[in-house]
Amino acid sequence: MLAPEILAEFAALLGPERARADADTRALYARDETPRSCTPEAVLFPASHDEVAGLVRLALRHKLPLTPRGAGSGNVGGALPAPGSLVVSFECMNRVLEFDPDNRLVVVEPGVVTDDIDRLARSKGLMYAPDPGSGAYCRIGGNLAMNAAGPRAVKYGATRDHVLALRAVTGAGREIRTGSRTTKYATGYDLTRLLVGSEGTLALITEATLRLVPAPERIANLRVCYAGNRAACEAIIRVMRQAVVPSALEFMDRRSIEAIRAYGGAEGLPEGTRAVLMVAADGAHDDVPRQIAALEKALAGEGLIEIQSGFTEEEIARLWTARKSLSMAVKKIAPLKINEDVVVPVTRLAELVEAIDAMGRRHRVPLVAFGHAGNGNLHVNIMVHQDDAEEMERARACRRELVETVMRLAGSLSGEHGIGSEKRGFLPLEIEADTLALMRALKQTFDPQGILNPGKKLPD
Amino acid sequence: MNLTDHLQEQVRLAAERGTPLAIRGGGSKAFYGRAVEGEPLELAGHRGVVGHEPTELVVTARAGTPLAELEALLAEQGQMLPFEPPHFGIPLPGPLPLAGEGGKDASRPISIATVGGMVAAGLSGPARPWAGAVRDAVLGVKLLNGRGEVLTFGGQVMKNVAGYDLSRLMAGALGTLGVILEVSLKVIPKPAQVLTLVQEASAPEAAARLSAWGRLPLPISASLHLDGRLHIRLSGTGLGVAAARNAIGGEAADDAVWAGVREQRLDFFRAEGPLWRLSLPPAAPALDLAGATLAEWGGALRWLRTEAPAAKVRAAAAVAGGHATLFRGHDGTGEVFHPLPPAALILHRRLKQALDPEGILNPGRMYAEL
Repeated sequence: MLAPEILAEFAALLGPERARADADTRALYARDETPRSCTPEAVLFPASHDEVAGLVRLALRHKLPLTPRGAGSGNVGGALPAPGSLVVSFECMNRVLEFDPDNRLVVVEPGVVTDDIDRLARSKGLMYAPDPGSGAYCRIGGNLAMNAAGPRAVKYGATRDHVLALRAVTGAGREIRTGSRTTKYATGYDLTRLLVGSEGTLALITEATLRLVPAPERIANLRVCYAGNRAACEAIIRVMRQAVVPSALEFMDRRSIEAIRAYGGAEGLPEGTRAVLMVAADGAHDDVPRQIAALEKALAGEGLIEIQSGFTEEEIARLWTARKSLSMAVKKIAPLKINEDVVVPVTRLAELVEAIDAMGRRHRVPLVAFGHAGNGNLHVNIMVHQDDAEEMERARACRRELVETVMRLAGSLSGEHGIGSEKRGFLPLEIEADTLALMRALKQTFDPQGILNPGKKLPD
Repeated sequence: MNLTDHLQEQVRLAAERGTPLAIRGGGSKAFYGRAVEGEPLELAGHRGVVGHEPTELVVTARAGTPLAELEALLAEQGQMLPFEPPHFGIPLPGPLPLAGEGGKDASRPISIATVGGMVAAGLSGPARPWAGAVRDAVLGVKLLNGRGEVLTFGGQVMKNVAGYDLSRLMAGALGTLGVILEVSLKVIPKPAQVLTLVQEASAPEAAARLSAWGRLPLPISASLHLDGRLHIRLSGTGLGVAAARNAIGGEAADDAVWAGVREQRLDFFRAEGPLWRLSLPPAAPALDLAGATLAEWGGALRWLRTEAPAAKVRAAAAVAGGHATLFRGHDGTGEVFHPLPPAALILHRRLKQALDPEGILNPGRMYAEL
């Protein structure tokens, strides 16, 4: 636990209510969505930029590591406390500082819930495009740290593509402002894009200016059933090479469909379905049917069993029933989900899906693959029982093989979840030693004492 | 041709001797930024498209590859670079053809711009606010750092959060952080239909209309306001373009106006004197400065011809929430880019130090201190 006299210094800065070292609070902040925990020394709840700057200076003086945290909804250990660290929770920095519909931007503190930004934007006919699955409760600071993304990324891009400017405090305690309110980048090097996705290891973001886009007038969906994984993967390639970019292109593999069937969520899926694509189009009212027609044309091909379209809210909800039941269905297989979030070029997806199938059989672990296929981004879930040491060992071997396969297919370790503590050991497989050395030099530049989120993002 | 070994050797030698290097592709954007005193490091020979699977929306090219060659290759597959980079490098003034733009006479100068220079300059064309900037399209970069080591950032996939995002740091860094050897870029399918419309509008009217349209899902892909006329480009499916035309109104106009503004071949750009490039919030009112203005990007980019002192231009841009770059009409010795605040300058120096410890790569091209 933190020495009382040091805690008192933080309490003097933040007030005793927002600088806490009691056992209950510390226990509450000991974990994120990673199946591991580590109790922090204290939990700090800054309420302003100045308080963040002040607490970084105090942490520097006492050489105390800091673990920044949004909602703790990440699943790679990004907000998992480092041993001996203080958690900096941004929950109290939840103000919208400015909403400027004319310039299509919003300035927010890091603790604002992602979906609230979108709701605000929609009140003026705009939207905040990034749509991570945890949008209802995750906080924008965590999205910025991990460069979060969701289904809409295939058309609109990830968090990084929607950040105009940032205000932050570096690990050296300096305030920086990056970017500008204009759609063009600011002067100098592009530090905005460098900070987004740096997982809180370079600076603590205290303010973000986000770009908003016009909200579509209408959305339509397609549920497309195929006889096998390969047929679906080939359809993905056809979709991505024609001119209508879908606003979502989600894939579920054979194992996903089996899991949904076992769970009883496959009602309405035609006989023989072994892979499903969920495809969305959005835009101006009259243009959406035209987009859907173009997408249907691209989706048709060998192995197609059925295409169903939905234009009303009810129809869309019905089409999504199977997909929505997937996460519950997967949990039925085994209690622990080891979630890999790999990316390969779209043209290598079929190879990846086939390799996943084979390695699941070889290592005798259930592997369920689904995800944002339009970007080549697949969530591969290894389903295991944590108390079965032998199975866990097989899962580890399988995970290693998965990563090596992705590297062989010119892919990447993570598309949107981040590296955190859980994947950093694999980083040398993707990034060469000289480049890693440079990344460490960058870390040193922003955070010379290494107090910001130690043990994350980069390997030891 | 792959000149990596040769270039690596030159950078290593320069690092040993502390010789500054002036990195050069085609030289088309030599006017942009501050002047560099140094040994030329020529990238033009290091050329060739090394990866382009038409089914993947990614292309990988060596830095010296002519931009015109890359664009022609993409066009054959019905693809394009989303950010419509300006080529420049065509002697001004004069309406000379670009490759593929009716340039039938092979002896006339055509585009000399290279892919590496395009990324290093980081300049994007008319589609930028709607389709993203150069840096948004950069998926991966291979470069030589200031010690002559080959480093690779990013890759060829659309999403990647492994490691720090250093590839995008190279876009717009004007070669001060590394010698770009190879770059992987996201490409997009060409739109099925393009339509240019023109209508009468004063500057405030144009701003109000653009602001209103900006909240609607219209397939606008470029805007230009000059001399009381507002040009709008629509790109998309036939039906979407037709519907948007009804919503926007205006007369059909020649699509060539977009190449004219992108390559700065319009009369507006031919006048003598300083040309400023202002980045402003799109709805910011016109700056209170004497001179002529041309507005692009829904109002976010304004070209200003003015004899007003630099300090005054920069101050006016900053007050409006933006910044000013002295684009043309300077001698390369003064400040070109908006000055950096002290904390940012410290970080910039350290970044430069991390990538180029001897300070030999394009020293001073961006800021005197870098």
